[in-house]
Amino acid sequence: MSNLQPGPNMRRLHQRLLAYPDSPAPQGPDLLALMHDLIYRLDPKVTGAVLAPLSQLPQCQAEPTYAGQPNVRLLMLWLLADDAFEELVLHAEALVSLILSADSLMASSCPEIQDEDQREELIRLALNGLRLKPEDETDHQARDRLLMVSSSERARVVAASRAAEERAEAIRQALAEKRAREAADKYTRE
Amino acid sequence: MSAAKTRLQANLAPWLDTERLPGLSGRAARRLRRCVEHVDAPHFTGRSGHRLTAEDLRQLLADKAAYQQAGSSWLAPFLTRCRQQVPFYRNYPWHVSWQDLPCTQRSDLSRHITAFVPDDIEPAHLIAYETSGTTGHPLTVPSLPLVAARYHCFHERILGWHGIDLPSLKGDTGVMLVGDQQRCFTYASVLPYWDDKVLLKTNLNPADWPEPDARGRYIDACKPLLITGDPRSLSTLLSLEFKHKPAAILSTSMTLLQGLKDRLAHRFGCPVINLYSMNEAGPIAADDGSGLGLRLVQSTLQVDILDGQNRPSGHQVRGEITLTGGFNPCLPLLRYRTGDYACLVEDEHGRRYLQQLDGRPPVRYKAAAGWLNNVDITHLLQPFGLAQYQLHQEQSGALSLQVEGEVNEAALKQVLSQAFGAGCRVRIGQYRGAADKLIQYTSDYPGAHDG
Repeated sequence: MSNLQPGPNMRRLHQRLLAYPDSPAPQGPDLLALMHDLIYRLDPKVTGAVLAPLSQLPQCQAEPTYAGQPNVRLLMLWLLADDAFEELVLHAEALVSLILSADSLMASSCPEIQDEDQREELIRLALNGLRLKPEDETDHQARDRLLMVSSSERARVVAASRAAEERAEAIRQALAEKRAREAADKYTRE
Repeated sequence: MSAAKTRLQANLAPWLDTERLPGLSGRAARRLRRCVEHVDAPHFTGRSGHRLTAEDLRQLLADKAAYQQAGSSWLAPFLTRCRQQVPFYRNYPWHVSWQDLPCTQRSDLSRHITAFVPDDIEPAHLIAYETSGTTGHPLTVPSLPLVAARYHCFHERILGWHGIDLPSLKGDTGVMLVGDQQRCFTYASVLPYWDDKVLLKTNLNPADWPEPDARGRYIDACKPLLITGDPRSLSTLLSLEFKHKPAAILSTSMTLLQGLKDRLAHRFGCPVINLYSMNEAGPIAADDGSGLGLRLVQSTLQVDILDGQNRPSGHQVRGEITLTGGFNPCLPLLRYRTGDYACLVEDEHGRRYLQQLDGRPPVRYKAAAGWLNNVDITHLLQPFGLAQYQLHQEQSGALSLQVEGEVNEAALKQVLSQAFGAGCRVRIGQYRGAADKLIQYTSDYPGAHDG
């Protein structure tokens, strides 16, 4: 049984990100209003309670400033504003959760949108957060490809592998030091 | 411990060595000193000790009681620990039944030993045992002092099958482990978990003794309650003159042939117990005197007999002995194919026995200066760090060594020529690993299997 809903075409979403406007990024109340509008458009049943946590985002509280490279959250908002998402059944809770967690999803908080791999990762993370899969992909393919491009997953795997290697080295050293035949008494040979 | 203190301990007499022998009692120290200073004592080449803390000794008592309990309630927590704590098993397909999980073998341990050590084991607490084994994959087995002491629980049970109540035996020397090698690590120690009795690890090679006859006199003086050793060393024991009769003889490491067993039993008038044991798992099965085979001894070790496709061989059908569980928390074995073959039978009381066990056939090698035990060969080749090897001596005396991987052939030949004599022809080739079980040491030389 399929768990993921078919979503937009990947090529279209890449094009969407590449078209990110070269204009000042919204912050403070502007950003909050933009998010409310977007979520309402994608799930008209949304309630105020569901939207409430968004107002706690630091970027929604600050006075608007107009500088800096777009971060993951802004890029995702831009992505989700594509018309292709309007045709889908989306839930406000999932949208809010995705927007709230956006900061921690990628290794870089301000990905380079000219980099195809980083775009691919961001798109797949967004789709996965909404339980969507790219058009024409199976669930398995979608999950597999997300893992392949996920920088934070890569970072986690690298960190885990580094920790495992450090531990293996500690064990290797301990065994080498104790390998002297003087271990502890056993009174049979084996 | 500081470096200075470590040096001091290393130079202390064994009966003062509280680093290797924590909690050494006055009685144990006196017994140890008597054995070490005896006029006929061998030259002990090394030092060793139980390294057990008071907490370890308390735990050992608790373990002893726990190991008496039969049942399979240990299996589920054991599998959970494998899944959660052991890197090598972590990515197993745990949704299947554990009997359908992949099998491991000695080469896995040899190549990835660190991945088998559970995450909850502190590396600094580890001790290590080196082993060559039957399959030719040298292996370092991670362990703990408590694990080494746990062997005693199983030996006690095995001896109980023969009517011997180990705790009630009177005497100062508990065990004499005999070897018969060119070079051997020997020492004297004490066993705090067996009434402070002395443990002597000796080499029967006359070169280790004040004079050849000292060997028999020393045995008569120390009167070890148990004598343990491989069949070749026990065979040498038969050639010595002494009167002492131990309560039992434990034979390990290689196949004990019936002729030698009969000769030992006739000479010493005690049970001669064939023990199937390996560094990876400890004592697995032993002769219980019933004549039904080797009886399984560990209550927390699942023994299965598998065919070539990792499936159960079927009732009384011979297959590879495969182990799950064990008493070494540093090396949890999960469907570990041992490389040894047997069939498994159950008697009417539910006791399980290994029959037709294909263990290590005893073999010795003819060198210019005399016979060499296969353990001597292991020592010779150890520095080369070979992943796998097989040594065969031809009828002519020529040697054929097959090794796996890259090796310094010139250095290998030089070492073998030094040991066997300059005239010995040595051929070195690559091991191709076709057989399902590599017999590491083989010989067609006349007399190689006598003794």
